[in-house]
Amino acid sequence: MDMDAVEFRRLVEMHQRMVFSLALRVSGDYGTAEEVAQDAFLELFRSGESLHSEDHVRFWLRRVTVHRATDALRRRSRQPEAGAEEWIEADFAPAENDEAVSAAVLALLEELLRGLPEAMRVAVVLRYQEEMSPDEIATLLAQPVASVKSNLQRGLQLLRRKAAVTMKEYVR
Amino acid sequence: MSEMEQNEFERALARAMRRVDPPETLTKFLMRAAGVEAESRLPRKERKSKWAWIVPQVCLDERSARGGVGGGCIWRRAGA
Repeated sequence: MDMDAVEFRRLVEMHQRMVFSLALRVSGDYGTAEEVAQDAFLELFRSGESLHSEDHVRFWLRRVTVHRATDALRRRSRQPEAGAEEWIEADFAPAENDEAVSAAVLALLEELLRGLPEAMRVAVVLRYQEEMSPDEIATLLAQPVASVKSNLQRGLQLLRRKAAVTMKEYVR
Repeated sequence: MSEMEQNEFERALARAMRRVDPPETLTKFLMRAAGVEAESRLPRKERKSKWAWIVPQVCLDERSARGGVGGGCIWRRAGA
């Protein structure tokens, strides 16, 4: 039986923040994220009858979103991916108060995330945005748990190292 | 970096990666697209927007004059 409009709207409203945020952080581009979210939900609408539970829908949406966002990322950047040592230097002016510092630090972390190599970025986003365990990430990406743990560890090391250099004025 | 600093860093990372709101147009677009998709699955007679086929006037003139439509005249879909 096909998914009806009411059920589809419910699923869109329930999952759109997750899907869009995931697409945005993996692809690093707002417009691409919107397209990825549209495609993922329309594919859900077409595949709706084969998804039997809320957990299954969430798992399915995460997997499709990550795959589509990484595909879009690869299409967009046919040029060599930024390597671990090739970071984009953010222009970072010191902020005046704690609140501004906090917002600036968060913005910089997002910027640094965009500089991570794809596999590390996907692992870090799923871990920290979606709060998934390494086992869950491994299942979602159909990768060995050891690879996921390695990507997480290396991704975090790179982020910390760069953050320590770039944010030394803010990190006490 | 000490363990405490590491934990602090990971907390900051989790804060930086909170979910964000999608554009307001996303739901509107999706509902419209799903409506079109759903309608395309219906039998033709039940669709709200049915295809209408039209014939250019020149072909109708030819048909009335010669009792048939020549090879140069093609049926065209409305709006095409």
